[in-house]
Amino acid sequence: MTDAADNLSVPTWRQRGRRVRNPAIFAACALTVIWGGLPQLPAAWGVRFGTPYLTFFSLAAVGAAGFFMLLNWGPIRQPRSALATFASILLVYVATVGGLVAFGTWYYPQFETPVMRAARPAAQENAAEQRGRAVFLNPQFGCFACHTIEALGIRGGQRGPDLSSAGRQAGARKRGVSAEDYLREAVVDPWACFTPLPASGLVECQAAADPAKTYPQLMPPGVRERLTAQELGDLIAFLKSLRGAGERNGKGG
Amino acid sequence: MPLDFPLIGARSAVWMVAQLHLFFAAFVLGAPIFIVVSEWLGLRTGDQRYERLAKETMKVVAIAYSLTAIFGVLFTFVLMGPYQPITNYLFKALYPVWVAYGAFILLETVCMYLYWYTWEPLSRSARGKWAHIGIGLLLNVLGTAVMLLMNAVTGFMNTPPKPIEAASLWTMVDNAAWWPLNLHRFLGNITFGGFVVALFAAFMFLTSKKDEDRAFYDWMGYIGNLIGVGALITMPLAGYILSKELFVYDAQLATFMMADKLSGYFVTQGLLVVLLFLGANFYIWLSMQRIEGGARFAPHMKAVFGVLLAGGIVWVVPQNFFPDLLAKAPAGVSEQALILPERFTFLGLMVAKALAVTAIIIMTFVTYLLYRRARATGAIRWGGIDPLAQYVLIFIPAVAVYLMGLMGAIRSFTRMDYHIYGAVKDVTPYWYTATLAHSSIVVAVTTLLFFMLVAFVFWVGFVVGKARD
Repeated sequence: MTDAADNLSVPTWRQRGRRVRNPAIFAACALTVIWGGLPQLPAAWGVRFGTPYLTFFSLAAVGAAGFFMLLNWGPIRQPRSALATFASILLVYVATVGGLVAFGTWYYPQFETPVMRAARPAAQENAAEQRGRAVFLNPQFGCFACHTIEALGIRGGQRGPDLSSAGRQAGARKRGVSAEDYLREAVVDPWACFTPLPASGLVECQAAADPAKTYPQLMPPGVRERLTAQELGDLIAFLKSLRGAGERNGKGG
Repeated sequence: MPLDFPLIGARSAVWMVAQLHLFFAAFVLGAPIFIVVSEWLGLRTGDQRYERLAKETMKVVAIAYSLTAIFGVLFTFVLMGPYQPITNYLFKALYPVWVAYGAFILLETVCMYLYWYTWEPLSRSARGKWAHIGIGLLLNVLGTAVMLLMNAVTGFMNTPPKPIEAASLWTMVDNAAWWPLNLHRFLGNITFGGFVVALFAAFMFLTSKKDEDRAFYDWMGYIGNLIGVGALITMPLAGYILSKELFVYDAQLATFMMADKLSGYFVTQGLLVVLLFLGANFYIWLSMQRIEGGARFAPHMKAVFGVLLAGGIVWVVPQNFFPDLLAKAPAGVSEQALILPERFTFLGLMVAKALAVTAIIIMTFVTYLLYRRARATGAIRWGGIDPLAQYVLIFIPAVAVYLMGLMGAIRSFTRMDYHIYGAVKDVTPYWYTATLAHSSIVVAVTTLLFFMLVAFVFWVGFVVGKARD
């Protein structure tokens, strides 16, 4: 081991330019292939990437080129003052963290944060339905954590299906079972029959879980224990009254 | 909800203070592990650098310890107002754990000050030195006990025993996530401690005027980074074990974490892990330049970096760009554009990801072997490293701190809209999973605050002191 007595030779900008030329050429070629070549390939080959992926590959190519540029960059000078040292350290820190924030906020798609917006007035609801609405909106039960009722302007979570037409659909979900009974079963024992995805084209609920056709089973456990019989009854009455946008109990709304 | 926090809301306030507490706690728990090892190595080999490394790091730990306690108290205050019901619940359900926690904190504090203030008096004889190392060992045992107790509470919130009403105290403590969390955090603390030591060394290197100091801090940065990377390599495995336990506990969590609202978080996590490995390898590259004849390994290392970057791309590429399970493609964008083409679907699967991360780990190991090979044939010019390497040692902790913050958010969000998963609902207005954008900003602000505080600790403890000397 020897102590460093010799000073590092810092390259000139011209020398640095020469050192980073090859990675820069690589980045330029990669971007040309990604944006000019890949979209031109026949669709039948099954290698057509969407714009988010092309952006991802571009970032990866530029990042890789940047990494090799840094490898070739050569020694830098040590900051001359304490202030310059601190400023340069802070710059590295802020640039790193800022880049990560940019990735999280700009690049990657976001889901909608559930926000309770002003729901439409419940003037046409009877007493039980009004109480049921209160149960639905009660954070203790958290129905709206997963379910939205777009028709009433209740913007809850997106995990469960939109219940705008729950009342109308419930009658057709299970043969020989009334809408009320089906809704009760769907709330307290959702494992009995799985709600079909709208895109599946199915109307009736499915006995076995098929992820391609039904909503995955995500209902929170213990609903039966947490709701009183009165609360459950009111909730069912409220859900039964939901018949889609501008329609309530078969009447225009 | 009894109280809220102005401007940023109760959740973000609790989140930031808790995270700052955890950052400092991770450092004051992780660093003493290798401080004691370093002190022992100093005694065994007679190399005074180990002794100096141990002592200087311990000085940082001693100052950071106060900040850990301050943020712990602030965390409790901020939590008790807005989250009174869950605070009460946790105190009632796990009361003996809190009592034990208080007792161990007290013992650990006594031991920490004893370890620090007896350093000089006990270093005068070999017997005294062994006694001092013994105190250090005890400090680590007590610190680990404190960590186990808090992990029991955290784990209980994530995976409470079922049915919770009939659970005994022991089943609440020994919950499904407890041991995986203990392992994960133990290794994480060592990683974190190593990287903060490297950050400290970089800070000191850049502010040093003497060759002798630069030589020492160059060596210290190398050791800190080596410890950090060594423990980091084991982290993906510990993470898998924790995730697997969560999945076994409730399969629904697998969907929620990997395919639903937390999928974007895990893509970011992948990016952060890749950045850490790239940073660590770049540092080894720069370290190689200060070995006589080390430049001859450059072509081999570049080939290794090529594989590492390819592995990184596979590790990070998302299976799809849907932010959650039920999201639809935005207007004007086809669904096909947001998912990997059929021919490349395998890139989004765990098999490919696991292979990629294995390649990254192996390549890092190969880089280190090349470094060892170079070191065996040429002398190291300590202090002669490119100052750029010090900025890499600053970049790595920035990423590590951010990663730790983000992973903390992930662990917390896996409780979904529960305080205690499946048992106690979060009925505050902040019950929902925050978007990645929101979390990124909160974590970034917390990371910057941590950095400012750590810089303050370094400045107070060393730069000011050195100037006075």
